[in-house]
Amino acid sequence: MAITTALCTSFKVEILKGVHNFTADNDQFKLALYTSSATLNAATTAYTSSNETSGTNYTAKGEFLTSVTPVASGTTALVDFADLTFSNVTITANGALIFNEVASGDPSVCALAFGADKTSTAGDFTIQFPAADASNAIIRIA
Amino acid sequence: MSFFKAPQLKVGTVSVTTTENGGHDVEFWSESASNKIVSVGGDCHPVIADQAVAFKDAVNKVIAYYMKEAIKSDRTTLIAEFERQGHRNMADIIRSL
Repeated sequence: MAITTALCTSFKVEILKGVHNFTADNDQFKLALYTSSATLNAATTAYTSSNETSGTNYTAKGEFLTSVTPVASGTTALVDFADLTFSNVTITANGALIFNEVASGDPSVCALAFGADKTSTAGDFTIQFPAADASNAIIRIA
Repeated sequence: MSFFKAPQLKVGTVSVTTTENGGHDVEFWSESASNKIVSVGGDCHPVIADQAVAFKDAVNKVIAYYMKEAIKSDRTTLIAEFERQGHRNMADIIRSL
């Protein structure tokens, strides 16, 4: 059991089918947190409650992400999200799953490994997304 | 030798920051905001990069200053509301932060 950072293969198929829309102000995508017992990787196809983090002030299925409308940087198209904070929580998480809350079946977008257990105690648990450029953005089509 | 470069879908790396018994401080948020506003490319000219870094530092300081002002204003509102509702002890706790 492990969490591996990867774009989900099913997501690659679904963007060709027009399932996902990353346009800003379009509450669609959520980020859920998972313990080290979870298995998340390219083969993950949808949100699962199995081994999802639980703790004070954390709600199952996590929180909505604020999407930034996709743009192009040179020949690379990219997607960005605003940093996400789970406030006043007491939780431990080893990774996360971004998934589409609106589409049928809550299809997954990508799995994110934190590299180690991260814990907050009656505090903030903040996910910081990389710079929105052609080399680092969270989702890129080059 | 191939002349065709296949399109690639890639995922970036997130970082996680946590706190205990309180939230992030103003400096954390101002740095996060300035990182979103100003991004310095790794392959740009060193002179341009230096100017961008200096600008980013100035933006960081301005954001931090106004964030602190916003926090002070919000606490003023909270203190006034607690006192208006007769919770003087709560108002004093907020005032002491």
